[in-house]
Amino acid sequence: MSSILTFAGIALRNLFSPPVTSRYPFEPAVYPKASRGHVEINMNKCVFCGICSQHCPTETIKVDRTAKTWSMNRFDCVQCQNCVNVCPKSALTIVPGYFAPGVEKVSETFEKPAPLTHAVPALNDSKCVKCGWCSKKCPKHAITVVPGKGWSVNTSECIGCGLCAKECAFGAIEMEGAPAAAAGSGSPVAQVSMDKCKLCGLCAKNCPNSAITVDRKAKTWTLKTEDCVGCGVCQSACHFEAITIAAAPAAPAGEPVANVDMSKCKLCGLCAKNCPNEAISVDRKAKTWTLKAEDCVGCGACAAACHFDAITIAPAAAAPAAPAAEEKKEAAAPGTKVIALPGRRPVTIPLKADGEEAPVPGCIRPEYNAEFVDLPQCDRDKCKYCGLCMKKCPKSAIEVGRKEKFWEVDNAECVRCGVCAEACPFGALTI
Amino acid sequence: MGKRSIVPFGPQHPVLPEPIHLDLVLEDEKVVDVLPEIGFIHRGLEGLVSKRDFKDYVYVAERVCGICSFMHGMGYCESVEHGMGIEIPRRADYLRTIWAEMSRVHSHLLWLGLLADGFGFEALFNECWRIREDVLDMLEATTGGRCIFSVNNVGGVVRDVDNATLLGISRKMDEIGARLKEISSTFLKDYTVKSRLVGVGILSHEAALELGAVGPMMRASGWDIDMRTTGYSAYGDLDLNINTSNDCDCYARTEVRINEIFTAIDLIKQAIDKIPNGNIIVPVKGNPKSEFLIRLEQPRGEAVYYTKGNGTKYLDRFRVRTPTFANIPAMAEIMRGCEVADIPMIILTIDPCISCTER
Repeated sequence: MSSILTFAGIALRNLFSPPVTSRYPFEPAVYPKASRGHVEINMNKCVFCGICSQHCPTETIKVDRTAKTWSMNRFDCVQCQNCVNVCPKSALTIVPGYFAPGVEKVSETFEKPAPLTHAVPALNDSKCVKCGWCSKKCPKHAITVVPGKGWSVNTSECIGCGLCAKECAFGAIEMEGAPAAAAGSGSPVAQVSMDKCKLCGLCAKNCPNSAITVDRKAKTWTLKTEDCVGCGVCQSACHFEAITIAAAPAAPAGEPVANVDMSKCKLCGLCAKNCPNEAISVDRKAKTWTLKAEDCVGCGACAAACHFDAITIAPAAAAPAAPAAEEKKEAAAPGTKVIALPGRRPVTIPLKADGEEAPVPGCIRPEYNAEFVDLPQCDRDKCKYCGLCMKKCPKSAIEVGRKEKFWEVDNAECVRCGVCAEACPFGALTI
Repeated sequence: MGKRSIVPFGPQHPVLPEPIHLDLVLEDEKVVDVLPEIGFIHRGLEGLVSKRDFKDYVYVAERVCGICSFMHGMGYCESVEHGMGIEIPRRADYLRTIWAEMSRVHSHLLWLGLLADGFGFEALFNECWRIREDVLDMLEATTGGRCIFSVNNVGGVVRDVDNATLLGISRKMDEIGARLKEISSTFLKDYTVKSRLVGVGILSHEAALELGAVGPMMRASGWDIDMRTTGYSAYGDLDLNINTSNDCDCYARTEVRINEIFTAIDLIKQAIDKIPNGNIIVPVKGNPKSEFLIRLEQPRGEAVYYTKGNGTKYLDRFRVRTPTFANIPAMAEIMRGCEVADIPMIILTIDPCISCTER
């Protein structure tokens, strides 16, 4: 059965209705928020681990660890979002807006911005009257003021002392960015020569950050190094040339690297497999976990891969975790062991009578066997059957039924890691 | 009997959507024999599997084709997941099913448009693609891509869709169904359109099986063969109506495809009604060791995916048998005896996708 003019209705309707298309170059195209247009990078978060470049299906991302650059050829990118999914530092995002076409393939290179070691003054223009007082007061002559018109700061000269902000009568200047203390202990600070010092206290009065205290009775001159920004105001204020600005001989703060908690580590080696720079080596026979600190970029791929939350990314300090545990150990009841991790509630683990735990040198995993520690015990009076322990258990050994009021642990699966006890908000679990 | 001549046709030709080359042996206006030839756009994507991490290869697998892209990624993932014994969350299964059916809707609408363009009905072509644009907009809003979604990964899907959006999709699908009904009468009842489709390119019931045709080609010759009945992903939970026709010609294949769009819309709505809440991806530990073969129903027919792992993060082998490859013998067969003017129609009704055939 055939008919004619079947399309006439649609054609007539289209004739009298507005167009469904938009006049694109004249009207902007609207993309949904979820649209994958192009990849953007936040260089402040990037640690140059190179995981994105390893996982890029078109190999368009290049990461140079020595030059500290991240580059990509936009024309090779297929917007698959894999780099965004694998980035351990969430430095990459994919945002709407397609990359404009071009006549030749060019690679875009991003460099890490020079880290601001100190705060810089920011001007609130509505309050400023351009009097030039800040410019006169600046110990480094970093501020230029054209009276009545302009105000500018030379950030390379500025040392972030904050004197300008303090001196401004109108409160027009605020210090922005990293706090002065973040400069690290390696930066120059005020140092005094006590032979010349007459303990007059002028330096203390002039210090913009009140970093200096002078005690005439005790005959001491003290500097809070973390407050000192090395501005040199004290130096110029001193009548006796007793103060110099020099680098303090302090230990530099380490870059964040992977730290392992050997009480949790099962030496499975997943961290070593996932490390993009092969900085970790795990020896199951020797029961050691070793990190080449110079290769570690602190990307956190190992921490993400670890099933037992044994790895944390923190400034290089394998030692702090252990002494903290040692201190707590004294406080713990006899026959128990306390595992304390930074930022976590300490967990008390009872030891068997003869389970004298030998202090483990370096990174050797404590012996574990099933008789050594008991299964987690649940105090049913305290338990609210919230299921948090079930969620946190790395081996999924716990099952909780909220309605049935049921709590059970699988003996075969449980590795006595104590994560459940740590997670319980009601203190109902003990190991 | 007229003089025989050989006319080369393709790989580039105004009516060809895809680069296939045909040597047509003609006797006057009548086609006596056809020699098809492919191999113009081989890209070596299967070989790349030995150079990419098996989790990253998903993004290569889905670039095998630009239209049924999602199902290539899905076929690869399902094959690796089954081989590794990973059970993905049910919500991921449902999301995959919804996106797969939405791909089918947009692929069939694209094809209907090309068909209309092939028989010279420009306005009908625009109307089909106008409907398709709404589907693409929904896909871009939920997955981030218009045709290549990049949401599959081994272990599940990487983007979730909230339930309110899913209900919105369900409503929008009703609207699309209503508009499609309107234009489908032009395809199925119009005198001019029927004069180009009815009785052209007849693939008989027996020949379809013998030549191993798949998908709508097979179903338009009266065989109710559909891989979705195997119940992969979430299809096991849904009521599936297989559309068949016994007319065996180009008209039957058009009818089957139009009805399949309605079936797909129905499946999407069923899946949205039944979708459970929960996780969308499970972490994948270890590397694939075993081999696995899975068959999926793509818009163009049955596709076969085979993966073989060796315990490392690189697979040994990945193989795709795409539906167009299976349909080429049938296409050559039905061209014998037809008029030169019908060739574009016949090529179009197998819905060729040469790019994925050659990979």
